[in-house]
Amino acid sequence: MSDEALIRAFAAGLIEADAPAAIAADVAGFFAGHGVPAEAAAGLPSLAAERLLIYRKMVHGRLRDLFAEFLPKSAARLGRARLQAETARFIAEVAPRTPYFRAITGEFVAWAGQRWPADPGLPPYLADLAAYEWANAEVGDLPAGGEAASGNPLALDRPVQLDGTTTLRRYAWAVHRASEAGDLDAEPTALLLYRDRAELRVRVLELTPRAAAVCAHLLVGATLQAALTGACAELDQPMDDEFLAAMATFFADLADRGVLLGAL
Amino acid sequence: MSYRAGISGGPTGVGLGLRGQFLAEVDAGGADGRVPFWEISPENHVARGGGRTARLARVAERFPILSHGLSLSLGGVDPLDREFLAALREFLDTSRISSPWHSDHLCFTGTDGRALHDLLPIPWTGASARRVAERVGEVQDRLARPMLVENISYYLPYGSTPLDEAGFVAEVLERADCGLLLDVNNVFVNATNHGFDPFAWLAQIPLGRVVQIHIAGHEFWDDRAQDLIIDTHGAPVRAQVEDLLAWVIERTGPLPVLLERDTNIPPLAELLAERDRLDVVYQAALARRAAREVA
Repeated sequence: MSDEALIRAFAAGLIEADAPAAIAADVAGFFAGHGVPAEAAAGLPSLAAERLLIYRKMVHGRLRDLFAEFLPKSAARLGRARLQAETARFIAEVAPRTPYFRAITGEFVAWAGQRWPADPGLPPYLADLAAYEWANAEVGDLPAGGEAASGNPLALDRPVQLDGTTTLRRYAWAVHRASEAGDLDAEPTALLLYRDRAELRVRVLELTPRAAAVCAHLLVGATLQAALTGACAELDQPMDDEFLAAMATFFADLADRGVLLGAL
Repeated sequence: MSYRAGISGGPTGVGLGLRGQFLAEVDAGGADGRVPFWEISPENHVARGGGRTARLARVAERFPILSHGLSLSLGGVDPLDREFLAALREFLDTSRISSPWHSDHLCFTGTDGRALHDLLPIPWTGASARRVAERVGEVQDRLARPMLVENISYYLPYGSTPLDEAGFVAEVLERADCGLLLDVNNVFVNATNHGFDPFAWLAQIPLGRVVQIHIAGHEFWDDRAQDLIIDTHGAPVRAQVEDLLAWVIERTGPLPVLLERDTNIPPLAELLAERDRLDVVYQAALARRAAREVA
């Protein structure tokens, strides 16, 4: 019991928002307050407060650096001190859950997506920008991708086969045009991300609203016909020759890129 | 027969950690003939595709690769993450990595479902040793391969405990019937920070259970105060740590020795040069051992 309490108290010192002040004031009291028997808490070495706070700095700093690596443009807009503070809040409020270090950024972005848009002290586009930066990393690492093409020609009554990395993401800001600094344009944006089959690099296509609507249907397994009719209905657009010609051109481009592999 | 003698198939000599910073260079042949083996952290590769995975597969065709994990939280109080263990098992079974064992640390890495991704110290008690040993046994069963545990650097001991660190490590090894990944830099870091003789520490360890060695550089937490060194894997190996390596190799014979470098990573050529320098230490220790056996 004492062993478990020591471990939980140690972890609390790294996680809890108010831990640094409490530890600095009375480290034995901090451990005792987290269930460590008073005798064990009193037996902690004299350097316990300093050393526990060093551990805290190392844990927080490692995550902050990870986020800055995967989200460089978002991190630059936050600034180092604010990124450090956001990292601490993330750890205190939810903390990483994944056993995969590389995946923590995805958890951070999901947490930020709930918090940052309502924070008047942050740029309104920041959560979208972070989500986009993470999507690039995520698509690059997907286990799927590079599947053999079915060899079947496209058919209206069948779903299509897309490369397994193909991902549609929508944003309220033109995140794909973000430079290293500066504000973004408020602009509904649909992006198709995929991993190039030859070079294994992530590519990003900006989609028109109708191409995005069609892709959204295709990605959930709709037949080609259902995707086209569904998209037209959603956009209140006639399925006329111009629309069909544009989609034919779009599909040919996707096929050239190795994204559209044929019919299933 | 020692525990180590019962494990077959591992490489020997001085290898390097295979890091993303130079994976492409290694894939392109930049270390061919220069390194007897590499080591990876499988957490960086499990359930992952893309360029890194493709390069790793090609490197694994040319080199032995050892598996060294970071996330098992062997000393933790949460149940082992069986979903993660299943994914790890699948990776070890199906990737081209042919590591004869998997290793992880004598530490906890999180509590209550929260993963802090650091190597955090556990109390050195008999109860703790029994709990860790049970968890090591479960991991060995679930991964279907031998397990090595690694001694960590710690910066905050939990005060007076029934066992010292070496006694704790030895008890876990015996109870779990597992191997030791002996990190000689961690021994040096702890000895320096906490004021004990690293050779006396090593003398308490069952050397027959040492299956692999880690060696690395370290840095001061505060360059001005110089009162605490941190196992950063961010600097060249110091001579005192090389002495510990030599001491062990003279007593164990050939082992896989892994030079870790995880921060301030220099160009590959520089790392290879440091590997060569350590190999001189390693070979000299083997020569002294051979000379002693002849005598």
